[in-house]
Amino acid sequence: MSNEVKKGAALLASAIAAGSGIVVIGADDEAAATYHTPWSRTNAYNLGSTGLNEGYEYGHSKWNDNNVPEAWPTEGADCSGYAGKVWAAPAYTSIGTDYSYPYTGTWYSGGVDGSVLLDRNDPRTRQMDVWVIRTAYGGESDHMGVYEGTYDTTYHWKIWHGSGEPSGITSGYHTTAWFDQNNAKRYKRANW
Amino acid sequence: MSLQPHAMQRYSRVAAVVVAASLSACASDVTDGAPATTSGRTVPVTNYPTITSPTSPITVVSSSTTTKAPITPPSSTSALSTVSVRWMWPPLFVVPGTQVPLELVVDPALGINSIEVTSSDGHDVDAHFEGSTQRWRATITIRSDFEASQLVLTAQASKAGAILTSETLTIPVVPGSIIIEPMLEGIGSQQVAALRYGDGPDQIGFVRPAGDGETVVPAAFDIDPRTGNLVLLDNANDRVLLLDANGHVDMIVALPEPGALNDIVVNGNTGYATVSQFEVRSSTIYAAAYQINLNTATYETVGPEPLPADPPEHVATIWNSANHTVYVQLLLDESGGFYPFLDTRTLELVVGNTPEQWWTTAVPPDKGVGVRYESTELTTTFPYSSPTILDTRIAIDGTIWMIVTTNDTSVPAGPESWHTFIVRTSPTCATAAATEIDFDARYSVTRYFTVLGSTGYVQDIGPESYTIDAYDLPIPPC
Repeated sequence: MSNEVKKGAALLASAIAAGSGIVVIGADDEAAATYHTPWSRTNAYNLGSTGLNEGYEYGHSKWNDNNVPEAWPTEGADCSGYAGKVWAAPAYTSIGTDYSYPYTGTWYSGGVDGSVLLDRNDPRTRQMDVWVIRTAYGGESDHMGVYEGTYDTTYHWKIWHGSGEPSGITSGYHTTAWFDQNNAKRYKRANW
Repeated sequence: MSLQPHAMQRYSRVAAVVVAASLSACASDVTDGAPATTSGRTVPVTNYPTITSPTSPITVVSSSTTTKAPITPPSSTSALSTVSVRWMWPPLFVVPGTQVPLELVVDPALGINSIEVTSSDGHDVDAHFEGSTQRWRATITIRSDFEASQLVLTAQASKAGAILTSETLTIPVVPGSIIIEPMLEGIGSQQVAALRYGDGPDQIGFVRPAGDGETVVPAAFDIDPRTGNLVLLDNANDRVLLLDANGHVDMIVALPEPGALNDIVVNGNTGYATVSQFEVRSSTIYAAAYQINLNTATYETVGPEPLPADPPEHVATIWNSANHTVYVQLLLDESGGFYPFLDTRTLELVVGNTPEQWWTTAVPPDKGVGVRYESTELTTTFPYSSPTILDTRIAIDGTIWMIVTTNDTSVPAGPESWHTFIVRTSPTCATAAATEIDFDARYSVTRYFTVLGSTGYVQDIGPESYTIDAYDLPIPPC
């Protein structure tokens, strides 16, 4: 499905968030999107949790779930490799399989098939939505991760991400202000 | 534990001469707080009395920065406690009609038989010894009609033929949970340090990955209260920069890899600082510490030892002079807590499962930000919405300092909608002062600022350079 067709379908079934220019949920183009199905938020969460405390390697997307950050070629995933595998988009691969997932530029521009743009600070704690930032659009780096699902009353989101070396794939927190000041975009899978 | 003295790298002059520690009586030097990323959770609160700080309310004026001023340590700084009877966790404030738990530590070798706590509200109590913690504990009940603004406590320990007296502890008295409207005005800043990015001797690390990934930026800094010298955690370059009070790099302490350097905290007036490091191995977090001699730029390595916690990012450390121990604040349960980390006398990691709860930050919905201590909340309001605490420090004088961001929802969400403030709240006076600061909060770090005297020092990670700016923030009068 082309981006143009996908965007048209999304617009027909979506509302535009007042003042924010953000497309809100409503589209369901699961059948047409190029991503693995069935794949629920819980599936994504369970797979994502296996990556925590594993190693980082730019341009790659595999790990071994032994909670030991190890060097490539034993394992390693960068931020987009981690997020793409968690989303199974465009394809599901096992954690031990290295696969070329889309980079942050593709994510940020909405070019990942089956991704639907949301309000980045929607207070609903929708587990495993993706966030992405780009330096060309005010971000502190080209980076992305997933929302773990916890949003506390002090305006902190818990996140999982391939943060880099030496930390590897970790959990952490970002504030609502952080997402705004980095001009982050937030996506959900169309079938979520 | 391994002890590995490490050669220093010296780039200009020798370190400052040790200043003789003041022996003035003072409460325990617990001078730090915790970042909001590890803050406690809030509970809804309503109908608190609101107190407006004197002078002009809610007038936001842009601040300006001037360069460049040396850091001058206060004329009287808190000493490493040489008093034999020491208050362990001084209460932030007390409320009439409530009970206040107190904790004292005494050198076991002194053979103390009893401790009596004398209170200015007329209720004196005896402390009891708790063998499991080797501490003395007492609970005082403050009269409900107690009207003074401060409660003054002293403790006297008895041993054969002698009396040992504690430091005098002065605690603010508040009527209960209150909301304070701060004096909000533009206060200019003074730049005290400016470093270019890089790995050179007079630079600090800022590493943006060539591809996708997170930018590594300076995670924390602190100030040596003896000298006003800056201590910067240059985690991108695995080192610590020791700057003189004029902001010039004086010495560099190179630390080993791997592991993520987490935070740095100066150990009061001892001449040492502690760097914490965390590393995940085999489903377990391992913690290590580097104890840095600020005079010689040498260090000793302690650990690693396993930690019973989830992987931490940006975990704040604090120093408690009463037992010479560094604590880390971890979220092992809903409320968080301060966990013992490093005994700086024995250089042993003393990681335990039991937090020594002291206070938590709180964000009552739609009200502001504050701290909670013994179920009482002291909240400071701000303009705009979604107030978020980025960092908190409790100063030696008992004032509460925070860096807070708030969102102006009248403009489109984005970098321009956010306003960042530094605020200083006085429990004693129930007043607060705040100023908007020029600040880029695009990076997540462990420590955004530190406090010395009446000045807050804020690190600003700019696009071209790293600066530390000073904001003088006198507390409004009572």
